Amino acid sequence: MDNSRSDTTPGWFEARLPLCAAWHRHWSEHPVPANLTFVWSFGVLVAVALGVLAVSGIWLGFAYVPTTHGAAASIEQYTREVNFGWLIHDLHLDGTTMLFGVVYIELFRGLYYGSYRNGRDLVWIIEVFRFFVFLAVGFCGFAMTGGALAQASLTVMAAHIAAIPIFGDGLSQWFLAGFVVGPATAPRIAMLHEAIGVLVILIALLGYAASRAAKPANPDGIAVTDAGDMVPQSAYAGKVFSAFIIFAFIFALIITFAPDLGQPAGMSLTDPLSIPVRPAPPWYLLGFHGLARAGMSVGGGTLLTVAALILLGALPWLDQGKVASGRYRPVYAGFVILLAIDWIVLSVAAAEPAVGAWPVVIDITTIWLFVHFIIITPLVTMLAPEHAVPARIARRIA
Amino acid sequence: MAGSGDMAVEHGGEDRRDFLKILFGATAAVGGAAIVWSFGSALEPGESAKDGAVFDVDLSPIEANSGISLRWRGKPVFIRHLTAGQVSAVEATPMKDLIDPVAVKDRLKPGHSQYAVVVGVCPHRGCVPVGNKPTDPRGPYDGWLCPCHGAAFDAVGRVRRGPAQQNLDIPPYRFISDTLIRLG
Repeated sequence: MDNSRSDTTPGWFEARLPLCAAWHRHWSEHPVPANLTFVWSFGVLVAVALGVLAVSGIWLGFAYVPTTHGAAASIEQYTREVNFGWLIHDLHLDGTTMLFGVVYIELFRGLYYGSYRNGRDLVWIIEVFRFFVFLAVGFCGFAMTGGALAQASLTVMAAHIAAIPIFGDGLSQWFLAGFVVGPATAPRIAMLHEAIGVLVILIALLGYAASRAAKPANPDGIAVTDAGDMVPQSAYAGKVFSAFIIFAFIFALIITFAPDLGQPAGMSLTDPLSIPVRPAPPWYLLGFHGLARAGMSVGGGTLLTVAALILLGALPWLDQGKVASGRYRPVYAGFVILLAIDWIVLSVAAAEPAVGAWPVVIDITTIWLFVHFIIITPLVTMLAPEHAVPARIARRIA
Repeated sequence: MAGSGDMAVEHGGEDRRDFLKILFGATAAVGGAAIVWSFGSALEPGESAKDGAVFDVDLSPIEANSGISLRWRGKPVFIRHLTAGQVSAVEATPMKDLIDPVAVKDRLKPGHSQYAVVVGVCPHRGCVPVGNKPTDPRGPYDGWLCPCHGAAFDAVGRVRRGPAQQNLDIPPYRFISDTLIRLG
């Protein structure tokens, strides 16, 4: 609208703290490829979800009692009797579903369009690390709700940490503030949740900075260099806003109709004397829960979960293809979609009790996950036919 | 962005984007206000913290010339059943003799002048005055006596002797019936 912006003299405040200039330079006027699609709005949605989690988390923290026996009662009391306590509790609980929903889709977007290519390897590693930290914060948040399942999950997690060679025992004792889950554990887990929760915002900002320094990712997976192929980021405002509206609508639907969606039974209001029939973590941890179960032993479970994350982070080196985007290498794109289905099946199987065919499903999907990264990815990206990639972006969307 | 300048020219400086901006701003303002209100409201004490914030007290068991102490929002509240003689004694006190001059009628509820209801916290340093139990000294003005620094209050809780400089507070209450008050 205001094309004469640069000609006007900045006001008193702007002259001393040029926030508007920074906003224009680093956000609204920042050049981005002209072919970005709907899924590129998800970075903003991650920020929105993080903001919701931070504010609702602070509000819950006003009332949360970090003790073994006080935790569940304080959450229940907050939910039931404080004005809008139900809303703030559900914003936090279901905010994790929204966050991991967009983060999983963002990761899939990265895999599909090869967003880790074109010198974006560090960006990708930070994104995978951020994902890992999100998982850690989510786990601590789940564990600090104080029910029997949450308490049991702490013992299980401590055993997984203890399985790390050399440092494991010490780390596990740090984690629990003792040799077993005891009175000092609850305040420690709560503090880890809050402290790492703040740290993750810093990691997200680092990832954003690295992303801005690298060549911008786009659905064509090519290094966009021509200024004619770039538009100011504000050109996507409508697209991002539409994505936000859909995000907010789904969020509202979950809060109003299914606040326990994807959460362990009765997690929102915990009964310390009952454990669900199917002990499973929140949905976003289920895939890793499955990997841990497939590992046969506790140590094997730790190894598989860590290995899966490391292989994800190693994609810039595992991928040997000449082109990056799934648009121009359909065979590999098919395998990426198959991997997403594999992860969903693994997650579903991990939520089921270890009877019948479910353990076999977990084993098969786990094996396929590692086959995908270790064998399929290097071979298919090297050998499968690739389509010709346009020198400039193929379709202008903005 | 590039096209909006042309549109502005065509439509005399007002285009659909201006309308969208106003719409967006108004929606954001309403949504922001709703968020601020609900999150601010969530900082208020919860229902259990409010427990005992408002309740009814039956005054019929209180005999004339005796009083009770009860706990209201964590503070002691004194209720004294005054005799006609005690009421006329405090009404006879000249205003110029009072440290914190307030008429008796403003310390009692009209039509219920036999009941004095005060917050049992001395305005001086916050001690709880004595005078409700039959064995308690009531001080030189037949009301309450603060055991800490000797402040003396009359039968409707007005301070008559320092070091306190203010009368005992009166909690919010109203009469539901002749012998029932709602405190809070």
